[in-house]
Amino acid sequence: MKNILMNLLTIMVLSTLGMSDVSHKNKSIVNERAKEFVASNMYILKKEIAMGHGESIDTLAELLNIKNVALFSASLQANYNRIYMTQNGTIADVFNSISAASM
Amino acid sequence: MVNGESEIDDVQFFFASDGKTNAKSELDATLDALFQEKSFDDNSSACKFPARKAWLKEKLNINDFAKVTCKKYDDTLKKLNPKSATLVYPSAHISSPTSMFGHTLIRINSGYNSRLLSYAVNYAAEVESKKTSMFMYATKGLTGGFSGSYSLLPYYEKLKEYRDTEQRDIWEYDLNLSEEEVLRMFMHIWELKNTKSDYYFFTENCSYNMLWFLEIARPSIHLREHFGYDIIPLETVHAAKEENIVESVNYRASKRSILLKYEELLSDENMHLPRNLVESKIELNTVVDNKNIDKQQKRYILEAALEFLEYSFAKHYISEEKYLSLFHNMTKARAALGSGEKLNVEVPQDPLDSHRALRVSAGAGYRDNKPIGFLGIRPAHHDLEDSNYGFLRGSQIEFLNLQLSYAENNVSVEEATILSAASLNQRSEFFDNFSWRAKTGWDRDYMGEKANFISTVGAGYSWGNKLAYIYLMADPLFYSTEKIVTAIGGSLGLVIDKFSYMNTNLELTRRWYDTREEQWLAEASQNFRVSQNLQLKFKYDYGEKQYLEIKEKRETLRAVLNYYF
Repeated sequence: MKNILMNLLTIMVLSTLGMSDVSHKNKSIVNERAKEFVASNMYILKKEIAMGHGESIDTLAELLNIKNVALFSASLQANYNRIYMTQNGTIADVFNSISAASM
Repeated sequence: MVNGESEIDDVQFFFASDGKTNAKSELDATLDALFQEKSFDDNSSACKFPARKAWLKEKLNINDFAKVTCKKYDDTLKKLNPKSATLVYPSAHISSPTSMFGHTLIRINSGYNSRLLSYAVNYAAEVESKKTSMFMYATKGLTGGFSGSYSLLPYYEKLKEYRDTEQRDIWEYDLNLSEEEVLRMFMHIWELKNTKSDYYFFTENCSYNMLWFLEIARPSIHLREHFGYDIIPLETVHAAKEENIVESVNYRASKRSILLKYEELLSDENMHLPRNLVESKIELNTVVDNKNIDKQQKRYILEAALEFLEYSFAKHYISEEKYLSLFHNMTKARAALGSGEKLNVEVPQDPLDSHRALRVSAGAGYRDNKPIGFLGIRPAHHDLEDSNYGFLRGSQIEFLNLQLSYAENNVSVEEATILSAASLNQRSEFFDNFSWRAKTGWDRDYMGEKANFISTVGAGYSWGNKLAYIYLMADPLFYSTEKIVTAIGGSLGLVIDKFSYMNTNLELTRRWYDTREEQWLAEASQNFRVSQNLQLKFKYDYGEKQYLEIKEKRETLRAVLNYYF
C-alpha cells in the first residue's frame, strides 16, 4: 500500500505541476490515463480524499489496478497532509514530502 | 436522409458536390474516393469516413479498397474502447428557462467499471451567451440560425457541467446495444465530429441527433418515427423505452440535491454553521474544536460547507482566492475526522414514469349553474396542476395550450396560451433563490364574454417542506381588450404534493387595474394521478371584477379527464 500511495503522490505532484517530462523516472507506475484523470479532477479528488471515499477515488484505484479500494481510500485520507502539504504546494514542498514519505 | 435530402448541412461531409441532395452521385463519388486515395494516413478518405467504408465493404462485399493507416482514429478508438452505451438525461435545471425541457446525450462506455472513464457524445448549439440577447436566442433557435456541432468529451467533464455547475439531477439509462452496434455508432460519430449542422430548438436539436445515432447503431429501431414536429429531450427517453432498448437506470444527485440532503441531516443547532463557515462569519476551529458537536455532525457540517463553497464559487458569489483557501482548510479539517457515514440521497421518481408531453382533455361541469363542456389540447409539456411525478417540483412549461368550452350552443376559447413557464423555487438554508412565472396568450380572467390577450411576468418567493409548498407572487400584467389595460396582481398559492397519486392546488389572487377596476380570482383543484398518463381533475374557480358599483361574477365547477401521450 505504501508503494501505491507513493505512486499516487507522484501522479498528483506531476499533474499539479504539469511536469509530464519528469514521469520517465516512474515510467512503470505513472500511467498516462491515471495522470490525465488526476489532472482533470484535482478538486473533486481532494474533496473525496478528505471525506475518505468517492467515485473518483474508486476510478483512480481502477486505473492504478488497486484491488482493495477501502484500504486505498483510508490510506489517502490518513495521508491527506502529505499529499496536500500547502494550498499551493511548490515543487520543492511536494518533492520533499514524497522523498520523506518514501524513505 | 429525409425525403432524399441529408440533414447534414456541411459540404465537408460529402464527396459529391450535390451530395446533400443526390444519394446516387454521393455513392459513386464515395467509391471513387475510397478506391483512389490520394493520401494514405489520417487525411485519407477512409480514415475520415470509416463508417461508410465499413458499410460499403459489407454491402458490396468489397475487399480491395486502398490500404491506409488511420493513427488518430485508431488511437481514439483504443482510448474509448467502446463496449456499451447509455442515454443520459440531465433533468431540468431549476430557474433557467432554456433548460426546462432538459437535454439528452449519449455516453459511450469503455471496458472500465468506472463510468467516469466513459465518453459523452455531445451535440450543442454554439451560442455566444454574452453577445446573444434573449430575443436573438429565441429567433435564431427557432429558425436554425445557430450552428450545432459534435464533440467527444470525458464524461466527468459533462458531470462537472450539468451536475455541479448547473445543478441538474442526472438520469442514466443503460441501453442494450451490443459492442458491434456501439462500434458502428462510434464510426459514424467520428465522421461527423468535424461537421456542422444547423441547430433548431424544436426539431434538429441535441436530442434529435442522439436518436439518429441510436438508429445507426441498430437500424431495426425507429426512434425518429415517434416524433412529428417537435422533439422534447425527455420524450426521446420515452421513445427509447418504447423501442425496448433501455435496460437499467442509474441516478446521480445534483449538487443541489446533495445540499438539500445535508439540510435534512444537519441538526437544527448546526444548520447555519456550513454557510457561516463559507461566508467567513465563524472560524473553522469554532466547529472543529467544539466539544458539544458530535463527530458525525462535524463531518456533515464540513462536507456541507465544502459543497456550499463549491456552489458559491460556481455562482461567482466568492472570489477564487477565497475559495481556494477555504477549500484547502476545510478539506484538511474534514480529513482529520476520519471516514464517516456516506451520503445517501434517495432516488427520486424516475422521469421515465412521468406523464408524456402531449395532453388532450375533456371535461364537463357547471358555470353559474348552467351546464358547460370543455375540450383541450396542449402539445407540451407540464403545468403545476399536472401530476408532478418525475418532474422538478414547482416547474412549469407550456407551449400552445388550447382549451375550448361549449355552453348554450356556443363554442368559446377559454384559454389559448402561446407560452407559459414557471419556476417556483423553494427557499432553504442553502438556497435563497427567487421564483418567477410568465405567460403570454389569451385567457378569460379579465371576465367579459371572450378571452383577452394577456402578457405577464411576475416574481416572488416560495417555501416548502415534504408535504407541500407555498408561494407568494407579484405579477405585473397587461390585457389587450378594446384598449390596453395594465394591472398588478398579488397571488398566494399552496400545492400539496406529498402523495404520488394526487396533488391539491390552491391559489388566491387579487388584481388592481389602472382603470380602477379591482378583481378577485380563486382556483382550487384536486388532481388524481390515475396512471402514468391519465389524470382526473376536479376544479373550482371563481372570478369577480368590480368597478365602482358594477360587479361581474363567475363561478365554474368542473370534472376533467386528462390523457397524455
